[in-house]
Amino acid sequence: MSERIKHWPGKRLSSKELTGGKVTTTSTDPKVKYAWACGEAISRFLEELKNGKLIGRKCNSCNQILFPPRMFCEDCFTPTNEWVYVKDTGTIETYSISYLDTDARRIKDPIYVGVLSVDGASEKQGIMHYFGEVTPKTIKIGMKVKAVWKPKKDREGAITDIKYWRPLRRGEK
Amino acid sequence: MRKVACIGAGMTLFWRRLQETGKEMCWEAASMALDQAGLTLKDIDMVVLGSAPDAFDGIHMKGENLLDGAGGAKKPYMRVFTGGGTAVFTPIAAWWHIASGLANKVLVLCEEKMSSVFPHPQSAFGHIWDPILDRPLKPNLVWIFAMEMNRYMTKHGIKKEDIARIAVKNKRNAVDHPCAQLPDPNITVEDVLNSEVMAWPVQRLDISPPSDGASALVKTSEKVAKKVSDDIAWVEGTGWCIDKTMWTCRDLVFPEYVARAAKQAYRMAKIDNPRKQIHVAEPYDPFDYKECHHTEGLLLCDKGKAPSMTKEGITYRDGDLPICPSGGLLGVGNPIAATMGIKAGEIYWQLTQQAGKRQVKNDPEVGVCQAWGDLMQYGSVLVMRRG
Amino acid sequence: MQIMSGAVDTVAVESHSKISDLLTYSDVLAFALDPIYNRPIGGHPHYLAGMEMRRFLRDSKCTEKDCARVVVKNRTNALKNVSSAYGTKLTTDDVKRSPEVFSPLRQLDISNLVDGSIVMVLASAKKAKEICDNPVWITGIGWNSDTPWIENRDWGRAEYAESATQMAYKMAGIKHPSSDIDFAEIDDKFSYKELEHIQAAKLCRKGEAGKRLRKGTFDSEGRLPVNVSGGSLGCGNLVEAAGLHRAMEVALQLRGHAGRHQIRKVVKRGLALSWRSIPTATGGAVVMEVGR
Repeated sequence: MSERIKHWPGKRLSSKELTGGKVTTTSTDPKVKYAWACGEAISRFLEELKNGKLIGRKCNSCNQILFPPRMFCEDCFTPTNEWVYVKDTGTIETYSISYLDTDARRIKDPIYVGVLSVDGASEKQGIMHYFGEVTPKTIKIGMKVKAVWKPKKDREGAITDIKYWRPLRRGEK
Repeated sequence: MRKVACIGAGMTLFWRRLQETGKEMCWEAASMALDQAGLTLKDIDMVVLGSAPDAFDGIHMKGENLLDGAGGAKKPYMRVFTGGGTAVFTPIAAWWHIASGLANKVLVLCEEKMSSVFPHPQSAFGHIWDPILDRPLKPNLVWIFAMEMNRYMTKHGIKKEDIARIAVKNKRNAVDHPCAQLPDPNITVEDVLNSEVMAWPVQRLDISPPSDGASALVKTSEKVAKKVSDDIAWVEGTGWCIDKTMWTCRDLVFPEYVARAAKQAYRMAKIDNPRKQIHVAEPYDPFDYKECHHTEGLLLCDKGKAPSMTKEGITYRDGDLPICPSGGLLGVGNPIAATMGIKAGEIYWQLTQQAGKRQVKNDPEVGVCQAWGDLMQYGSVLVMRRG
Repeated sequence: MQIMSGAVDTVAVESHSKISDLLTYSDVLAFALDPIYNRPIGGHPHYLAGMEMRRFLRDSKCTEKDCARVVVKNRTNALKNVSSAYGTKLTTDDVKRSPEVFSPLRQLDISNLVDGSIVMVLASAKKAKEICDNPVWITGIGWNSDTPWIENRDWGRAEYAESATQMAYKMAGIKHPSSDIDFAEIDDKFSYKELEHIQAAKLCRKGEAGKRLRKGTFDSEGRLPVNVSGGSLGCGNLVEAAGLHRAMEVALQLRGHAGRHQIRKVVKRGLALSWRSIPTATGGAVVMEVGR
């Protein structure tokens, strides 16, 4: 009982107490290494990135084009049926402007990152990626964007073969 | 379906670094809950423990390591885990144990020791991302919330200040919680809006702090509860639901998974008009916008209208529908699974009129709590009624 | 429990291993040890199995050769199981000749890791009768954990398995497991574990596991076949999914769907017993039946 409880257990430590040798600690640095199998769908997707192309999978049962590709449709719970190339243009679904890097360290030049849905795939089929050639003022949800690829010789079959997505220019498809 | 009662709750302080080990924190919280229930460990049939990823405590299969502190040794003991959703999923799992007829007295534990990761829990969170599609972009976990928050705000035309008000409410509420890590009696909306931008639109004061902590509940069958306790809250409804794994293919505007979990729980609790029939709510609030998101998911207001409830004063302790009267994760702290103490625990204390200074003013009969987890797509919902 | 509570009617239970993605298995296993007392000792945590095996052999009158017989039996059984990865013909001498790794544990006493996924569909009695002609009934379940302190355990017996099976037997109304149960799928991540678990589950009298094994009681044609599927030694160790694998094999046998490794005699009641492996003392048991 919140009121009747007189003592709430726990001894609070400051960061100084913890690192300053006042409290006994022990540490481990685990050796954890993985080699992920990419599976059939994503392996092909990564291969196609080297060619500067984006590929999805079509489910003939619900007619959705899934991107990134998957070998099964989670809505129908049946195998997907065919490979379909999609465009390297899309729409910004949402974005963030990040002032933190991956280890929560502060960075000077912010990262524009977001989710985009890709043209040629079904609604809400998309990936997370970087955006470029934008400012906090110009970037908008709903903005049309196009992939900026690395030069062919630098591509390695990774999501980073696309450098970033920039605003689609007038008249461009 | 057998009736299930909650007859005791306990929790430790929430703090960035506690001196106690995970086992010790579990034992402290468990002892408090048992004391309150008027039972001892010998009386307990089975134990359920909830704890989030092993990476935080730094022990593989950490449920096994914590089991003596949790009182599980030589008993049927299980650990459940649905990410942040564990905070409410664990009491749901305890409900199965009793409602199924397998147990009569269950001890429920939730523990998290996030300070064990160096230099920051963020490095452990990195493993949440898809290794092939997401990790090469060197993401920070805050991104995913920032993207969701931006879409929620943009689609509904919600102002940042209306969301910041949630953080202010909860951090002020937390002043009355003896375990709180980040209470602030003087915080203002301007403070939130002027705090450091982490990943726009998320700013420092929009976020709950990582913590160490443990919490516990005691649940029993109807027969046991009536014999040993005067402070009973009945578990009336449980629900849980998960959305797609591919988070980039989801609707980020509305948490459909929470709505489905809530409907499941409400159906069980025979609630057809939650806005009228629920009197106090503890939705999961690791971010201020998430309280809004989840309030809408719990069907307590129309889509996009949650921020205005706080603007109108409805969600304060003296309002018509108090939300996060505990101070929430934003004010009390966010030791992931252990936030059971300020979700299910707080609803128990509120319904049995034991919340002291935090007691809401509308004499609540029915309360709901909810947690959210896994890769942003898991909802667990629990409805309780006072005995 | 989800079904028994009345919350839901049907549940799909999935469990899988994709252990091949992990390159540092022993390091992750070591990460499960107590960080203050045990982890600093170092080494491959399988030494714990070696320690337990030695004590078990001393207390149980089983021999190293009995353990080798378990390996031979299970890997031979696996030859008939289409989903097994390690089925082969071996002799007890082959096991004896395999290198001692954590004495008395030899290389061939240890199951090999494997990838795989298991799914079982459970339903309430009402629903099952509606949608299924030959459902298998779960009549008893039990689970238990011993102390997490490896220093405080009884090394000669699997107490968690005793408690878990007792709980399941009580629920299923089983008084004499060794005669009431027709066959069993029992955790054998290490060869001696099968014998230890057989004793814990009271499928033979205390101290008789080795003797019964030598007499052929646990062979696929025996009175109480154990791990006809090949177990983890024969099929491969699915790590955390190994328990559901045992349960699934029991269901397959009871439905007569085990194909080439179907037990010849008619089986009506089976036991599955799981263990979470090193360094835990946690296990679960389930009794399944047909024709009730």
